[in-house]
Amino acid sequence: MAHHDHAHDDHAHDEHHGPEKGIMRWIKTTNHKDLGTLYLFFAFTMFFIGGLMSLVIRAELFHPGLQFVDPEFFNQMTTMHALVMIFGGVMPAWVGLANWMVPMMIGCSDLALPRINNWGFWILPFAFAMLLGTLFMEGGAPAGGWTMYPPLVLQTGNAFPFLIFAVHLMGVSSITGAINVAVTILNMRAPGMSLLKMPLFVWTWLITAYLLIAVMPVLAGAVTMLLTDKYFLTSFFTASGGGDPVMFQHIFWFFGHPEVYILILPAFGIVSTIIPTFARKALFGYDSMVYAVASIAFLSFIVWAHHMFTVGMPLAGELFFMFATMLIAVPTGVKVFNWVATMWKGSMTFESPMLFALAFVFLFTIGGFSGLMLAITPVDFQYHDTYFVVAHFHYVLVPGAVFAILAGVYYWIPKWTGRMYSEKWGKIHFWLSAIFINITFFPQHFAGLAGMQRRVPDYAVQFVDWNVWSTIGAFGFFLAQFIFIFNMLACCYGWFGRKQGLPDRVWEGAHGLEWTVPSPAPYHTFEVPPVISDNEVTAAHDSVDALDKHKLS
Amino acid sequence: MALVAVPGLGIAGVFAAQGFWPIFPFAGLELSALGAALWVSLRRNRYREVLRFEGGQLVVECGDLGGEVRRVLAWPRTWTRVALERGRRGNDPQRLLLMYAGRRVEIGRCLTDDERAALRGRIKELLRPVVPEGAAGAVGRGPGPSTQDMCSGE
Ligand code: HEM
Ligand SMILES: [Cu+2]
Repeated sequence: MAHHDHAHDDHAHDEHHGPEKGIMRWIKTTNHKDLGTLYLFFAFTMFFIGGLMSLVIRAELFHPGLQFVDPEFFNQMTTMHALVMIFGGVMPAWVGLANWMVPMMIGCSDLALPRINNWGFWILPFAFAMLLGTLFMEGGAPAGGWTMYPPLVLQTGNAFPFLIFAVHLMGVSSITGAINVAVTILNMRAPGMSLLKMPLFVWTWLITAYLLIAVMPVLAGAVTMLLTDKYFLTSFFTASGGGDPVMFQHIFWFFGHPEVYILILPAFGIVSTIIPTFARKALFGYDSMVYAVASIAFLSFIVWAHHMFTVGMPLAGELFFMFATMLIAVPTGVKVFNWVATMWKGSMTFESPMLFALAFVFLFTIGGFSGLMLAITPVDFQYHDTYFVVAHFHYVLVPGAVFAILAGVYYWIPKWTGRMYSEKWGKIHFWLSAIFINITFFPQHFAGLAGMQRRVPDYAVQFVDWNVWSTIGAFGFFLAQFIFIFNMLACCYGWFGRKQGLPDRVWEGAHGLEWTVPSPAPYHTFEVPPVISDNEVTAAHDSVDALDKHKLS
Repeated sequence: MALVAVPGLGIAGVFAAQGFWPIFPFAGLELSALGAALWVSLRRNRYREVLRFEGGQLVVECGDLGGEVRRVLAWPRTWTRVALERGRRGNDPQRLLLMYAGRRVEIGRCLTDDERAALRGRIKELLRPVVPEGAAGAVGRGPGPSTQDMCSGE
């Protein structure tokens, strides 16, 4: 996001070698900052496309009956919306933020495998060109839901092999990203940056990478079996050939549930970075945060069947998955408690990143509570496949993951571009987003409790009020995001005379190595490893204080 | 590595035992990629080039820590020259070259341009026919990067 500043940089130190000029810079780049920028631009492009699809869905659901699209196309929209948002929006946004911030946070000059990094990014445009291309194919885009359950998904038209191949490519991209980040964190920390001194964003990403590495082969295997079932006469999941379609659901959710945590763990890291900055206090319970994330990651492997309570399982299974799922609330509660305790008696200010982080804590918790309700097996029998589930996962994903991404971009954009965003427009963007997102998704709880099914383009007239609100909220939220886009582009390109000449430490309460380099961060940072002896790193952790106090007493 | 490989292959194994074997090759592929990545990165961390100024000779050796040492050259000190060249194309890093009798050897490839410039200065000092007191022999003790762990901390 920082073309101009790099050009700048070239002049400043002539022999320091900067980026290549023109388009080839972006195609050939192996620089972690360039690739981070590319990932973020890609992610927001996908958010835009996926957002348009969601508007098609909401327009159709504004009123009962069929207005704008036929049911087949409606189902293509729900399926593609989810795939685009999850694999094209949130995942690349996290990889982009990791690209920019992980090396700067642990004090190394780049990711461990820069060429693989370039490759991992450039797979994505092809994967999504292919996926989106299916919209124009005979039989249309995939319409069987993002979960791709057989036998329904096997009825997909010509799009089917493209769907499978696109999923494989997204998987390869995620894996290269995960391997790269993990290897970088394990092997390239600056001297003195021990594991328990790492910023929480780095920790959460390390655990995210671990989850990705553990579950991506499961997804790859699952979709490959779908492919062979359709074209090569195998019958892994076809009952007529002795296969078991329910096994697909087990396999898919064995991947799928860890995947939803992959989408949220880096958000925990960002919020744990931002709240201490604007509360001007050390993060409360650093160690317990790390352990909480690790236990959430562990638990995420043993709860998958809470997505399948209604397919029929032995009672013991239903009970096991119910209790295991409810256990996740414990470490999650620890985290929420720590965030609140960090703010307790802090000197708080409410700049845009902080506003989004606070909204995250509040609204993500609402999503956690609806999750707990869904975790209760007998209750889920009623809620399953209703709009209550839609409300749940949108609360954890939009005011959860997406708000954290927005908060992170607001927080670091001055570091990336050397220009301050407009705080006034940031606040307007925040309030519009926070209000509209609740108008969109809160009513869906009630619609779902009253029995409105998901993935259906029509509904009974009794649900009409909730849906009118939802649609209004969705359009409002979508439009409000352009404020953000322009605010950030203005920082990238220097429109509207954005404030420059920022200090290294843009936020007075911020700690961490990224705030010891100039703003904008030069094209190359930390080519010589910094020495981590000062309180830069430790200042953000309460555990170190606690240790010192121990020594004194 | 074991921390990922065991659960990774374990999961794949359980599914394979149920007849859903296609997960296994993907797990294998992916874990090999991870292994390779770790190996490459650890090896890059261990790579060293060492310059020694022994009496009348300049000796350059390279290799991995704990591995075999390869002698790159042993040239008469007074006849060796050091130079910094621009990279071949616009943005390629600079090249630090040792030259003797028409032969050229590039060293310090994993340093940054600034570090290469500093290293060239130091080598130049040490190649000078009249060597200042104390700088001969084991140079590693002197200030500046002379007996070099040039690529550590990459
Ligand atoms: C306290 C933590 C959580 C609990 C107890 C929980 C529980 C559940 C349950 C039981 C379901 C299945 C509902 C059904 O289909 O009947 C569900 C669905 C879902 N959850 Fe969560 N959840 C939690 C957190 C999260 C988080 C953090 C995310 C993502 C960031 C997430 C994303 C989803 C998604 C995407 C679905 C729907 C998948 C689909 O059917 O398309 N959940 N959750
Ligand atoms: Cu789940």
